[in-house]
Amino acid sequence: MPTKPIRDDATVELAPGTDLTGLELSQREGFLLSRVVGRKQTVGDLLKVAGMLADDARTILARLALRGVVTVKAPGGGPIAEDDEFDGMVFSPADLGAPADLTIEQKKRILYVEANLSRWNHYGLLGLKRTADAREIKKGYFRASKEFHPDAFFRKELGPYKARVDRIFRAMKAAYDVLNDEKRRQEYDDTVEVGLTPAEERELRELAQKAEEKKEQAQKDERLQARLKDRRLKRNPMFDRIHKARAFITQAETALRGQKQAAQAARLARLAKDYAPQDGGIKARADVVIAQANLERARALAGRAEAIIATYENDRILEFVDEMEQLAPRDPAVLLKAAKMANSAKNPQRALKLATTAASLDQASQKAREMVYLLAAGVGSWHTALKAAEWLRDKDPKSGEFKNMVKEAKRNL
Amino acid sequence: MERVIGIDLGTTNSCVAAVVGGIPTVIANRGGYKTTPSMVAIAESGRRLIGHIAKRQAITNAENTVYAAKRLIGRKWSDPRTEAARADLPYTIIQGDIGDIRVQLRDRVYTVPEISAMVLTEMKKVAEDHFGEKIERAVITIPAYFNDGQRQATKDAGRVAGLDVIRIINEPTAAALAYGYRKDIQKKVAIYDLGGGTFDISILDIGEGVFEVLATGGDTFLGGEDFDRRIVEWLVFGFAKEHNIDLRNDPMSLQRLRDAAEKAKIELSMTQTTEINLPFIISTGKNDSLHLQRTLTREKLEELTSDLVERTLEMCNRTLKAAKIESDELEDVILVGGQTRMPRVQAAVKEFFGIEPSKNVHPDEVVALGAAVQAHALVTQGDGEPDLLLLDVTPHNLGIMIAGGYFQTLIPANSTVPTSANHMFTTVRDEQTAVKIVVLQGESGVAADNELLGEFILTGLRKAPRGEVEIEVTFDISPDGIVSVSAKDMDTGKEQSIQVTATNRLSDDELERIIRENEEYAVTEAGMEAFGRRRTEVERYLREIDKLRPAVEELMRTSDFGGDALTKADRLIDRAKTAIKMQDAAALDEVREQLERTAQMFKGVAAKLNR
Repeated sequence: MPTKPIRDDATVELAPGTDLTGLELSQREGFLLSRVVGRKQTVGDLLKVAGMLADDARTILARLALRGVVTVKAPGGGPIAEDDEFDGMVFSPADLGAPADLTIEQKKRILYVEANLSRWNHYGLLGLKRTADAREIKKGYFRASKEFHPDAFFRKELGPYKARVDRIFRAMKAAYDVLNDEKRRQEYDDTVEVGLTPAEERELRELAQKAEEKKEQAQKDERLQARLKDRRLKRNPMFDRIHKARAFITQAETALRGQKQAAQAARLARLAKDYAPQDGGIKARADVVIAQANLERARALAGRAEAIIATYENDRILEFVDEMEQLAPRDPAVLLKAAKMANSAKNPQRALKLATTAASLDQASQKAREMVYLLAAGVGSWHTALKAAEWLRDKDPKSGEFKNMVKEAKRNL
Repeated sequence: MERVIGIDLGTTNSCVAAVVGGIPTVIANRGGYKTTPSMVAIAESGRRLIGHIAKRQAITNAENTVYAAKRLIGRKWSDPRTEAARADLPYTIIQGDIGDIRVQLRDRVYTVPEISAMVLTEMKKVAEDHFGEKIERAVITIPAYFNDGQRQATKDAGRVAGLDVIRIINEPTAAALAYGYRKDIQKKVAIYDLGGGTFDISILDIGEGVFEVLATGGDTFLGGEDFDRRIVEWLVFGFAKEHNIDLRNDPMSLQRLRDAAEKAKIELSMTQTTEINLPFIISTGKNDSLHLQRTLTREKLEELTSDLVERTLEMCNRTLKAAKIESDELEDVILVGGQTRMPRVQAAVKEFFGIEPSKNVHPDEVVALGAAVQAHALVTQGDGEPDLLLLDVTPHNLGIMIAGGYFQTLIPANSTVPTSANHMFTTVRDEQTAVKIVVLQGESGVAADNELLGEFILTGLRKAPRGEVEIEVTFDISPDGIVSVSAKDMDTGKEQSIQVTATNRLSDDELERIIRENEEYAVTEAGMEAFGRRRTEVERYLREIDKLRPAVEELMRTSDFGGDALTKADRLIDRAKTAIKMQDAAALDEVREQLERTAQMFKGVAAKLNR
């Protein structure tokens, strides 16, 4: 008494809240149930310990599941049966066992269609979509007739199936009579409730499946493309260098984000640039890292200005000044510090030049102008000094100090 | 696989076919003809003559030769058509005891199914001779417009002929099956079937191996015979005008006229004029005979029969309407039946449908081929999809008589068969125990104008106040188009017995009797045939012996044993001659072997002499 086979990988357990003492069970049902109680297992495992033919066990299991005694769940929550040709319908062994000149599949099909006669609408009955045109309706009817017209079972002993086939063919003919008549079809369409016909459901399912397949295919394609690119790169002698450059630049960027590793970052970035001089992308990224690292170093040196002045000889101090100017040629704060350092290293001319640059870079900086004035006055460059003094006076006309500075400069001129 | 055949039981000619190796094939009879005349005659000796032999002797034995039995089958004596037919038929028809028509041939009365059965038996024999095996199952075709009684009677005829009639199918449908078999066609077609006695028009939609009949119409009393009769009438009236003699009163003349008319009609399908020449058509006594000689032109023939053609077109029009299609939706028109060879018919069909009729089918054979196709399809129905399916319709409204003598349709014409309908009957009097149901078939709103299928009496109803007993009666039409009625008491769910009273169908007892008689005849017939063969053989030996005798006598006379041998031989020849004369098959069988040995001996002696 075969039924729709339950998948072996489905899990089976006793339904929660089942009162085992109140159940009416056949001997075999009881035996199978005893193997279910107290554990959660796959159907395959259960079949191994069921002690009966797998098909029988499946039938009994399906029956128990139908009664709600056990719950059977497929992995992923899908249908518990292998296929859903009959929508998971469980066939009565008595019906399938009834003597008739039919194969088991034919019997199932007849039982399935008959059971759905009242559920399906006219379209569903003929395997049609609601949008079917006259030709499709006819085709559906012809297909249905070939399957269920009494002549399809000519002189076969159908037993209890004779009446079923008869009912099915009559229902299909009645459905066709309505759908084949435009006026009656319209009337029917107006009254029939909305719902998908099996044909529509099938089509939707197929569409969903196709979409899923398409998505998977796209992903596959993408992965394949990446693999091909890698393979192409591997065959290229530059690949190794670019690969290294890529690693260096990544390291450099990381180093830059870390504390006080600017020098290291700049070194790594330069390495990266060396390894892949043709790679614009890496070069741009390296340049950014280097510029950033330079600025950091220049600022660090500027921060240590007083210490440097106190510690080093004049020549060494000027070397630091050179380095600072080189690292941050457009940073007014760094340049001012450098000017201060140059002045203390007995090179006021150099200091004045740095201060002037700083002032021109930061037009609003009072500090820079004051520095320019002092240095210019120191070297006797009174034109420059006057300009700075006038700028300071215009900015703060009330200040007596700035007015005196202007007077002083004018006098020396 | 078991062999099945398809038989086109026609009004004038019948044809048998079978599917051989996947190809529908017409089987020729012993004479090499693919069709056999549907004629039956009883010879003076009581022997049944069927087919060509019957046709050949029709003129000299007109009263005992039945043709066009199909026009009578399943008809009631009370049918107005019966009276019309009676005037034209050279053989005698009488009323049977169940209101049917019977045929009187010599000293015996035959039912019409019995006559048709003889033709069917002949067709069966043609197939059996061809295949060299017994054939038991067949599909028989009938005009689509046949009603239930005619279908039943045809099925009975099959049974009498010893055939298991697995299906009765409509002739135009059969033609469509042959036309579309194993071809991937998707179209709507019309079958215009104008045969010897009947006209049918069917509209089909073919596709996916399914043949769906959309509508069918026709006239079971319109065919080639009517065309012939028009010519006969024309000849008769012309002759009457000239000589004041009605030729129809003389069966032999009438038969000669019929033959001449048919021949002239066929000739006029090819030529413009034809001569009808019937010398010594009738004797006026006193050694004086009259001759008939006239010229018939195609134009005259068309004029004589124009209303017949018009009637078919009218039917086409009605059927197209019933099929709910326009004539321009049709993609093909197929002509079936011998009468469609007439140029005027072809032109009229072409004009009406606006399509050149299909020339791909043989009008005389296509119906039998289609029957063979259907027979084959039915018996080879395996577990898989059938490769052909027929969805035919019922040609008439089926209904019951209601109060006031009106007709209430329960299953309308052109419903796909099988089909069924229910009707609730109730009692109208208290304690009523029986209800009468009158089942009819036809197109009229008045019950009396329709064909009475039968009166059924529901008996043994529960005794209850009126209206309380409800009986559900189911009217069922089988794929053969045959009606059956069953009833159920709604209250108790019990099947209700039905008693059939008025019907012209032969009872089972009577059928059994006919079948038994047929078998007896078949045995006698077989004996006669065997006797005939023996006689030919014996006569051959006798001739041989006779020829050699003088030489042998001369040689033998000289020997002492010679005289004895000759005396013995003479005695043997005497015995053989007596056996032939007495038609004694057993005696003939006895002498046959001895004669053969004698002939051998004579030959041997003669050979020695010649050396």
